Amino acid sequence: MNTLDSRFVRLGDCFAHRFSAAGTFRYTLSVIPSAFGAHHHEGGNGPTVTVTPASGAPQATHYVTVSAGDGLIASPDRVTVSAGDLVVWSPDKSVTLGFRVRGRIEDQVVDSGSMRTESIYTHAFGSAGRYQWRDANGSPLKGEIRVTTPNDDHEAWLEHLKDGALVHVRGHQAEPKSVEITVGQTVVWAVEDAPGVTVTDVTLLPRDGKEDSDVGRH
Amino acid sequence: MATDIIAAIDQTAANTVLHAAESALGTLSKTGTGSLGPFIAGWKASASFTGGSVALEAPDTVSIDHLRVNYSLNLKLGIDLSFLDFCIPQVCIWTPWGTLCTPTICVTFPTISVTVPFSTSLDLSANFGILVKLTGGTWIVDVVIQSVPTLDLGAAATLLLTAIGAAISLALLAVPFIGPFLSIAAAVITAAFGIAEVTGLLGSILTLFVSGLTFKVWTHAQTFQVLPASPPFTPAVHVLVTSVTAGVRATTKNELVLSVDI
Repeated sequence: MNTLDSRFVRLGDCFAHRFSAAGTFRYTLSVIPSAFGAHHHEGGNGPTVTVTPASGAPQATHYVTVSAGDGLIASPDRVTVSAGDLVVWSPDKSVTLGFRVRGRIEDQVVDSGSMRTESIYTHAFGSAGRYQWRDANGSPLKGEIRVTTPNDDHEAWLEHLKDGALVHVRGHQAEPKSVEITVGQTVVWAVEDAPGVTVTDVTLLPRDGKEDSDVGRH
Repeated sequence: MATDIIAAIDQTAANTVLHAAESALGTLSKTGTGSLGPFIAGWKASASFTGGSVALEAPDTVSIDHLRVNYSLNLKLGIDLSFLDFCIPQVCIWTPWGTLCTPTICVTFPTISVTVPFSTSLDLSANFGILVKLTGGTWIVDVVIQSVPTLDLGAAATLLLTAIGAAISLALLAVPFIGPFLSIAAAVITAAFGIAEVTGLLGSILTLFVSGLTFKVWTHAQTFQVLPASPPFTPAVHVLVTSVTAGVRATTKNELVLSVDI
């Protein structure tokens, strides 16, 4: 629980995508991070996001809650949005293993396990420590999150939780490379023009066989 | 009718017999549940007995002083942390594609299981009575505790309370999002029970071992062979023990006396 890994969207995490162009996004929800599981139901009667041409209205955010029942269930499973709107997927308490959103709209693949552009991953950090993260799909993308323990002023701490921290990923560069937050706060990774990346705690990844000074433990 | 066989041992020999009986008793084990304040405590415990010095008191009391009870306890507490439940508020943050607002995320804290191993010993002094019985063709002489004495658990309870506190702190550290609530959680939990509750739990567990404590000091087959068969005509010769009595006789020195009729 509370593991930093965008391949599995768990309680405390969100995955979001901005749909810029009209079309229908047919997607699957999978617990399996590999492509095999994601393709299993594509093209069937799975959940969809229907994107209508931009209407000129202000950008809206649409929320889809994922729960675990007979498989993973999106609620609502049919969403209609305007081009430019955001759709945010998040799990409820029933989802223990996490999920992956993967699908296609026109010729664009949207995949929470391999983020390319206009995709966002958020994670609320539950434990203090130093978290070094990198892309599990092998790009040079990496960074660090330092999570501190708050002082005893609970009111101030709860108020502070409303403040998130942004990491802007362009290609395989993260800006800023290092972020400091307090336990309970949320870091938001906004991914743009990337080669299909993840945000994964390095302790979850196999060692690459060479001494790596960035490999750290919290 | 005169007794056929009389055997007697003095206090020194009685000590030797007692210590042998303690070894023969071995380690006793029990399991059960109790409570520590609002928390249910499952436990497994084992105890063995060593040492002690015997004083024989007529007509039938064996007094044992400073009998050492060596015990180990494995306590398992279930602590419901749901009183800490809270919600992470919505986070709204600028992104290159507009402001993203996350949904409110409510964090529910689990019930944690805390295991506390603990070992120590205590000394007790008590009077034991003498019980003679015939069971399954065997005569047995037991010394049986007459009543559970007051157990001095002060020091042990203090150590156990400290061990429980340390185990709870360690278990809490592993709970995500607990950081800001650690001091609150620890304060609430430790306020829920104190030395009195720990002493009560420890006492109830140890009483189970001490109540009815019995050392077997003598056994003998009711029927035993004194002469083997000598074929072809002479069968084996057996002796039947028809009664056994035991008591303490005070003469020039106190002795534990066994009287046997055959």
